[in-house]
Amino acid sequence: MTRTPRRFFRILALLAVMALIAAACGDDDTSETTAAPTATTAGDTTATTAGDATTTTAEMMDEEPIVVGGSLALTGFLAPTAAIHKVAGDLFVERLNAAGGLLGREVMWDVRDDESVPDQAAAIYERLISEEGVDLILGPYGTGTITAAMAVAEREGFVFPHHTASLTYAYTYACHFPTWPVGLNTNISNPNIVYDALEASGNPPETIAFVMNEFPGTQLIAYGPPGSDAGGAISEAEKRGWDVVLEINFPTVTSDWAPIAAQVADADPDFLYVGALGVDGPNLLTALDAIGYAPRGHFYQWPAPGPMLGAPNAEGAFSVATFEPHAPFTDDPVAAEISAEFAAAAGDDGLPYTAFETQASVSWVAWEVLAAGVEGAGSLEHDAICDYLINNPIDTLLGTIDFNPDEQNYYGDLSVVKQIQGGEWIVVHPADVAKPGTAPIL
Amino acid sequence: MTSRTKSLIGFGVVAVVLNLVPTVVESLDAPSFYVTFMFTAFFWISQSVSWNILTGYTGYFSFGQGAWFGIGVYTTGILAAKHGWPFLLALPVAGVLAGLGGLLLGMIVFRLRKQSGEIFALTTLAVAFVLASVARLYSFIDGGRGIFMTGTPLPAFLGDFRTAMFRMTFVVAFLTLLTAFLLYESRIGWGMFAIRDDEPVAHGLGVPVFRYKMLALGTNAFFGGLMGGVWSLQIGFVTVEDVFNIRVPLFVILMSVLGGLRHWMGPAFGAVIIYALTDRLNSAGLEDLNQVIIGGLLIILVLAVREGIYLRLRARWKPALAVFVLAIGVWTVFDLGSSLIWDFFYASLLTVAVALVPLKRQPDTAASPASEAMAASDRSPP
Repeated sequence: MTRTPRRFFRILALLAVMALIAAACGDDDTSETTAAPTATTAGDTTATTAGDATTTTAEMMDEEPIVVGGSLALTGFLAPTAAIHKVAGDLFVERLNAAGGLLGREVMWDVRDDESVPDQAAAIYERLISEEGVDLILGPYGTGTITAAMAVAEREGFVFPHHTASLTYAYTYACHFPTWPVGLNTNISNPNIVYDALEASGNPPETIAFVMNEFPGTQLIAYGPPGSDAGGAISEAEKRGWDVVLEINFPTVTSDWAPIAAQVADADPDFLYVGALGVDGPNLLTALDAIGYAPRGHFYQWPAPGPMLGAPNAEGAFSVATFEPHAPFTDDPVAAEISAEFAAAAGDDGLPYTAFETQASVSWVAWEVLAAGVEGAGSLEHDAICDYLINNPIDTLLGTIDFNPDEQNYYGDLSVVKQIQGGEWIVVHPADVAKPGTAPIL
Repeated sequence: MTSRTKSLIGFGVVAVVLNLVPTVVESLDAPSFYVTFMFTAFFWISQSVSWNILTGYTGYFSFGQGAWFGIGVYTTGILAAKHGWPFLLALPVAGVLAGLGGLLLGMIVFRLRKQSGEIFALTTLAVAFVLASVARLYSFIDGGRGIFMTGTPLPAFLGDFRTAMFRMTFVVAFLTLLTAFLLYESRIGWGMFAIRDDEPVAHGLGVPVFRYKMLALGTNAFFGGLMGGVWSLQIGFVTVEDVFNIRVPLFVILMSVLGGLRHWMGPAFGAVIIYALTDRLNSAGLEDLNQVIIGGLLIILVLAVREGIYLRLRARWKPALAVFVLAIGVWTVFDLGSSLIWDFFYASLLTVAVALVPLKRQPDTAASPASEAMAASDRSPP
């Protein structure tokens, strides 16, 4: 045998193996799918899903499973946070199936990787709905991908619960159900919740600096919707008589923190408001520390909670939250159990920060809304599910949600304020949800 | 009948047949994703074929496809979504602005006598970064706020959103392919290939080097921007990070190299193969292996089929067509695939395997690109 044919057959064999792999995986679509429950928490229910707890796993297996399709940024720049949503979704489905599934049927979650790319997400939802025929869908992670996927859901008439879209003003689809509980006018409500916490400390700032990521969501918080004079965090601070001594916007992906840190140090504000995403906060604090400056008071909009705890001078940093794994949030035994199970699952999955907090909780609530809609409607008809969700209050882990069609299905701002105290994130405001014995410190 | 006439008739037939796809899909109640699959393929075909007009024809390696794509996306975003222009009016402006951007770049870089290939490539890469910064900086473009394209009204005659996307991407892809074909078949195309083979010699032979390079870059940018303008609708919410990134330029390079740079049709083949592969890997839940498999496939094919898949298959079109038709037939009759796209995918994989079968007489790899291209095509010099 000559060299060329040998090389040819090797290549052919490789191609054949690839074709076989694709064929084997293409027909059953089992990958990244959470299916049959293995948990033995018999009798457990999720926080809100009625489910038929008497339905046995064997009975469930007799019927076709209900397939919930969706995508997450399993790779790409959103992947570190999207991993939290994967763990939360897997855990929810596992518990749901252990409690009898939906309409007495097993539930499978068919989640694909959108690579953090919006048009990729749109194509995935098109494929899941029209080619693969999923019964239900759940939104992806991140504003861009959610927006792209929502357009598909609207065209196909699918109910669309989603958890992490930040541009509240832009979502007008009648059957979108947001569980990021920030309210339609989040540019006004969200900063004021934070400012109220600063006032509650008894030592509100006189000067404030704004360092805002150019991500559309944080720009909305800072300035309000484009083309609107509603204003946002900056104008609301001025209304309180606080002197805005610095206003900087920085590119969404930046590594050049030193000039920003220098300007912050020069302005030396009483309070530093950072429109931060992910690790912007730790990066800025590290740059500030490098020039020997520690902010007296500081806030980060949507930080990666774990890295923040390890950042220099992070003690006292504020952020907004929806849930933290401590009292009074965990006074409900089901919530405490979910929190503990999530921490264990996240640890098993190798997540660096395993607390069941904001990201995980809004993801959980999106699943609760979907499950409640199906059980309430008693069918998989999307019109019926949509009607049920609009017309009925939904009990969730974060409290009762009453989707308001007059406010594009938003329902007020349920955000709370958390602060790093003693090396831990704890909720400090409002007082009725603050960890017992704590208050905002400034 | 000349080869060019046959090809133009082929263009017409393919255009008529493809234009019927949305109607057929709807009337057969087939999955509407088939239409989405096709218009996404059209997007990549147009991007890679237009890129090849510059890089494949003239030899100037470009990383600038993301810049032209981005100009197109933002032009329709600003005009149609922000200022309420009719989308079909904003669309040609997207192409023209991108084309002008290309010409402006060409005016600068092609006049530099010391301009080397590497510097040109890096310059085109830098253009995307500069445009991203400008878009971030100025609120009349983006200013970090993004642009919502969802809800942008489209003319009723285009049909529903999916059909409209199909028709618009189809028209742009068709025009791109037709332009690439006509250039390739013309004296201009020969001049471009001469520049690719040896620019000083081409200049000495009287080829208007500067003008042809400008034409190649302008055409590349025009179609890149035109298709970008259409694609803004599929993105839905346009942000700087989602538009001016390395994804588009990287994929068009992969697709074109795989399909073959030496023929106008090569990048279109590469685009369909790579897009189908990524889509099916995603559908199979093998996204994690996506880049590994595509990278591996590229290495194998570049080593084994240096002229690109298209020219290799063209040289043995009868067995390739037979394998494709047979595979589609077997998969369909025995219902082996779960959908038509899977059938197409398996058939394509087997057809690609045909390209790997060694020829009895290997082409002379030492021959010049122009002579290889000439040998592979059935035309005579004009």
